[in-house]
Amino acid sequence: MLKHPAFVALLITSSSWVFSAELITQEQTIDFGELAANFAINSSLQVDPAGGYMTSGPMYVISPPQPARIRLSGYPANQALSITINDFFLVPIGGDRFLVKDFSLNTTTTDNNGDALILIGATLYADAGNTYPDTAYNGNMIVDISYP
Amino acid sequence: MKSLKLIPLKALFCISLVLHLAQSAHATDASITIPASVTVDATITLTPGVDMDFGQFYMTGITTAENGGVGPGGGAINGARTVNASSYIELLVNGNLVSSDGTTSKASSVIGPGVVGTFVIAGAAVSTPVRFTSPELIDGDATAGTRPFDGPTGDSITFTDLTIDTDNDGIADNDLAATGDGAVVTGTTDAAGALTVRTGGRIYSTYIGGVDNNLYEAGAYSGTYTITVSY
Repeated sequence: MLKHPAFVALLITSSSWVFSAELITQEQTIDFGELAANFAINSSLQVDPAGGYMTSGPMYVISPPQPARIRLSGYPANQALSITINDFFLVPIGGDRFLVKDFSLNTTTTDNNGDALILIGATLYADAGNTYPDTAYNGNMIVDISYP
Repeated sequence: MKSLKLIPLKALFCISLVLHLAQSAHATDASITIPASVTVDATITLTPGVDMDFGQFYMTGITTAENGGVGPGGGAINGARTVNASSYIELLVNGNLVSSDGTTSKASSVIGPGVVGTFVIAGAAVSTPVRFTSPELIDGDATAGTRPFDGPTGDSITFTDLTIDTDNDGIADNDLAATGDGAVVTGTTDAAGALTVRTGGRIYSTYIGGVDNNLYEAGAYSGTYTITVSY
């Protein structure tokens, strides 16, 4: 017979991670919208997590970009997360590809319920001299989320 | 009858600690792949509107003696915006016509107002500067390119000194102080990525014979001009 309820509570708490259901749901893709550019010199389009954007060089936005949005649930409450995203390319059928890197996040910590709505911004880069024909460019952004 | 053997308190604490440490050492790692995309559409759609029309006018050609040089009094038809020996009809971007006699040649509007040329940009980036270039654009250089407006016979009228109004204020937006590569006019698209452009220019008399005031043959004279629009 256990005479120390405190330890029982500790054991239950300690076991709870085995049954947690961590869930990551994509709510919105990252889309750099529709753009035009004079690709004679370097240019870029930066999308921030809040949806704002800015360009550098002769790159012009025809339809606005949007950040990615993913929802986390079932995580430990107030858990600091390690989120890693590797650089990737947006590739057309023919022509050169855009590099996407320099990611930015609105948060890396879950809330009191163990949930988080993570907004991901990034910057698209066009290199001078490359050929970017009028078409759609696609790729995949792999988001790795971990915590200790 | 055997009695339940209780785990010592100290041992329980150690087991709990081991479990807790085990949990802490567990790294939870998950990943998600999110589609990413962009669309490039650098093509600017241009739709011709109204043709530029200088109306009906009277014009005489210049003589051989006046057909030599460039600049004031030179009589050249090289797009010199300064007064020269050639007569000309100028179509302002507000639609008004101005006629000017040369040293010997004459020009005057006869019937009707002028009609500015128009074309429309659509599908461009919103609220974005676009550039208009043309060999015939007038700027601070001494000359501009020319285009012939051919009539019923071999004598042509020369079109040049192209002007562009990109903000619909009836005033040409050409930079008359710009030289060299300055023959560029800038306009800005609206919130829908559209812009309506108005054009004007001058038609000059040319040498059409060795006699002063050799009259151009009656009839319609027409030609084309080219404007390139880019970001």
